[in-house]
Amino acid sequence: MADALQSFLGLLTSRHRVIVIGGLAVIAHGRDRHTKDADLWLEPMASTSTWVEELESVLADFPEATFHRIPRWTEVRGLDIAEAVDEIGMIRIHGLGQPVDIFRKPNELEADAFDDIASRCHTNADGTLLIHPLDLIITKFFTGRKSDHEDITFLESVARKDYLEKLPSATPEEAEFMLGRYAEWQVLESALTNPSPAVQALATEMLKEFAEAGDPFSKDILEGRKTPDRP
Amino acid sequence: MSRILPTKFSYRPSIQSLKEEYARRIAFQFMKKRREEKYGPRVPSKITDNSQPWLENPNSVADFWYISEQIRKSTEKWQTHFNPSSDS
Repeated sequence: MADALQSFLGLLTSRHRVIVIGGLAVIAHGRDRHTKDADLWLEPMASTSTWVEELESVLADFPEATFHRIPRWTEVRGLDIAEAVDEIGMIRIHGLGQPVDIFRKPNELEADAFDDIASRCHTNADGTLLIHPLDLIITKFFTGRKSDHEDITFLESVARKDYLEKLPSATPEEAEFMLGRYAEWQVLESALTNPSPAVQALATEMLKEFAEAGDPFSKDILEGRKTPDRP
Repeated sequence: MSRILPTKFSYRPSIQSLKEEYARRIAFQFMKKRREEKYGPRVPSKITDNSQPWLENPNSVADFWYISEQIRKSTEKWQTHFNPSSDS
């Protein structure tokens, strides 16, 4: 990674919370793919103008850095920077070695969701925060891009692995929170192995709901049939 | 209706994708059964996993970017290898 980006991140994370999102976050969760830019969600602060001022203040040490907006990554300066951030929720920075997209409002997430999302993040060694796979899915859910669909399938597998480990011994409160966030037949099947009758009842209730909606796996489980093996 | 209602931070795979996965598994089972009828039981492979991580325990933006760059370089190398341009 370019020294400029590393120094920029060091400065930025010493002052504010920064969540790694986008392709870099997918890589961080273990998928083998590459990305052309670094997507970072800088905490939204009180207003867009404060947010831009803070960003400009950190970038004052990087004379090569310039701000750009879509469409066509046109360079913007002065008040146009805040206007672009208000309009599209992010701004691109060139001049740090590779394109860096700084978001104030990522896709499908409101700026005021930052604290909630940050509370579920893992803290990286460099002080940045890594978005939870389920929160990352939400940012990619409605884009319609093939690469995002593939990312979602991968992130589902990451979340599922975590759920399969935790649900069999989760408390009813933990299980309710987890299943409120993510549920499908595999994690519900693992919840049925939890010794708590409350967790089992919750899983059964959700399996019934999924079966009624047409999920054949949930139907098999409820009717005592073995689900077909994975290829 | 379940007492757990989805929130704005909830995610569920679509029922359609589950039906497709179910159909894939049924098709696979059918193919496996037919193959075993014709050729006998399959001998399991001794190769478990021959992949190596790009980086052990990545834990910073620099690490994630390093992995991205290694994948990009590797992809370019193999694409060039298997799809040489007409003037090379």
